[in-house]
Formats: sequence, structure tokens, C-alpha cells
Amino acid sequence: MTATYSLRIISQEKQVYEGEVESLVAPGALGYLGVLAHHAPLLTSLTPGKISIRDARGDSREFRVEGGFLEVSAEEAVILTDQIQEESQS
Amino acid sequence: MPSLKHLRRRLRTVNSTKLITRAMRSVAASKMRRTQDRRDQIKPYANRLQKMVAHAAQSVGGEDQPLMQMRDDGKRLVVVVSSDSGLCGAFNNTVIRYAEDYVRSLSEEYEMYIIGKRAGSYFRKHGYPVKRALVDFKGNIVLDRILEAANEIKAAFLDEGFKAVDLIHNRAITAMAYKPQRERFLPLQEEELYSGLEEGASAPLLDYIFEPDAKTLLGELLPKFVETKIYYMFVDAFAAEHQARMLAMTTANENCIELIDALTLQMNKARQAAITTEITEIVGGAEALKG
Repeated sequence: MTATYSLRIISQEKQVYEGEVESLVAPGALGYLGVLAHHAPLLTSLTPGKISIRDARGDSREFRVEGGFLEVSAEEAVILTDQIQEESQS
Repeated sequence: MPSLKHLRRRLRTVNSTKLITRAMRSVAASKMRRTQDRRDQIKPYANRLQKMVAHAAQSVGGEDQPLMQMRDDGKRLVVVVSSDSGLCGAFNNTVIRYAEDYVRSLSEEYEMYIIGKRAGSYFRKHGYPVKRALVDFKGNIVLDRILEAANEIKAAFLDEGFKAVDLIHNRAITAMAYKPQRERFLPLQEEELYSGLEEGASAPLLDYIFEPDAKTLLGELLPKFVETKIYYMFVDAFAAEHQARMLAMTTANENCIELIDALTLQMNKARQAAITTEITEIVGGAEALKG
């Protein structure tokens, strides 16, 4: 089984997502980056783009963001954003 | 003794006041709950943001950040949060008096940035330098408008040459009491950057990856940090406002009930007296006819 880590996506108005995920792809300041479990500590700003999540059960979800910040620490990954919208599954 | 008719009319008035105060109390209570929810919602965001700021600041420090720049010349901007409507006890008076004392004690030039009709009209009327007064929030948290205010306050410091920004607002300290308080807001203080750190995590995180780099990141994080703090201030002040109104209305409602009791008693007495007089007259009349 693939290792997972916990991810939280928080906007100013609510918690958008919380759960165990396998992988995360986000539009970082220097281009899209992927985060798997045991990633090195990281702090980056986000550019407008798509966030893709693959959760512990193997389901994927996608969100559209207009900017924000992503921090990966030893315990968890956190995304702070003001404008985020879940994209409908296609 | 007031006439029966007069008493009846007063009783009716007080009764409707009782109903109105009860309704206003419920409205204030539900608004207060909603505002407190907003405060709970912003908390995790604010905490995380504070941590990120701390992590980036640990790596580069706060040098050259525009929002932290100390300047010797320029005016001071005093932000005051009051409410748009009254009927909330001494809520507005308290914060207005506190702000007035403060600006009077200032030896430097200042301008005021005011939120809420009450303080706005007071300071305008008394000739204080009001840069801007935002009204009609009506105690509701409207994110867009708050961010607009945050941007204006930020811009005053960054572009218009204000050297410092203070925030004055009421804050609820217990469920029954609130207190005005003043915060030195801008320029941001160095130690404020590190307030998000956990205990014992003072060692710099050398192995952190920053993209693009810590300084640029901090430059992007700080404006958000400032916005969030202003948002928090609004939520805090509005929660205190609804709480004060709820309290004022509860007291008013209780007073109405007492007054109704007293008036009812008086009315019954008056009615009894009227009946007694009538009977005495009738009996007296009958006696006279017999005579």
C-alpha cells in the first residue's frame, strides 16, 4: 500500500478539504509540483491553476485555485487559499 | 391618580415595547452566533498563515519588507470600529470616548479611518480629521467589503505615506462584558512574525525548501497576514456589538416586564376605586330616594 499523509485545504471562510491523501499536484510558484508522503519541508506560493488530489482510497478530486500558499511539513500538508472551487468530475 | 383610560393606553405601549425588545434580542442573539461561527472558521486559516509567516521569517528575517518599514515622518492612521445602529447600551460611547482620548493624547498628526455610522458622525461633527468612514455593514461580515477596507488601510501605509496604523475596537472579554482596546498594527513588529511558532521550535529550519525564495514568499505572505488580521478585528468587534445589543435588549425586556406588573397593579386599583365610587353613589342615591 502506498504511504499517505494528511492534507488540509483551508479558505478564509471554511475548510474545503481534510483527509489522508496519496498524492497532490499543485501549481507552485515555479511550476506544477507533486507531493507524495515524506516530502521534504516546503513552502511555496500558488499560481492560478488546478490542484489534483488522489486520496487514500484512490479517488481523485480536482480544484481550481486562483492563488494561495502551500506548506508541507513533517506532519501534514496545508493549502491556504482565498479562491477555490471544486471542478466537476469529467 | 392617573385615569383608567390613561393607564390602559400606557400598558398597551409598554406591552408592544416588550415584544419589540424581545424580537431584537433574538435577532442579536442569532447574529452573534453567526459572527462567532465566522470567527471559528477564520481561526484555522489565521493560525496556519501565522505559522507560514514564522517559517519564512526564520529563514530571512523581516528586513526590507515594506509592511515592516519604520518611518519617522508622516501621519498616523487611527482605525476605529463602531456600529451602524444604536440600542446596544454604551457600546459605541465606550469606543468613541476611548478613541477620542487616544487621538487627543497624540502629539503627532493623524487621520481617522472609521467603520460604522456612530463613530463616523461623531468624529465628523466634532471636527476630527476623518479620512474615510465606511458605513452600513450593519454588523454583518461581508468578506468583499472587509477586504476592500483592508486594502485601503494597507495602501494608506504603503503608498500614502502614513507612518503607522493603530486599530481601536471593542472586544468581548466575557459573555457579559466587552472592552475597547488599541493595537499597534503597522508597521508590523519583528516579534509578531514569530508569534506562530510552537514552543521550542526556535531553531531555524535550514532544510526548508522555499519557492521561489523565502524573501519573496514573505513579501507575499505578509499582505495576506495583514488582511487576515483586519478581518479578525472586524469579526471580533461585530461579535462584541451583537453581544452588547443582546444584553441591552435583555435588560430592556426585563424592565418592560417589571413596568407591566406595576402598571397592571395600578390599573386594577384604579378600576376598583372607580367601581367602589359608583356603588357608593348608587347606594347613596337609593338612600336619598327612600328618604
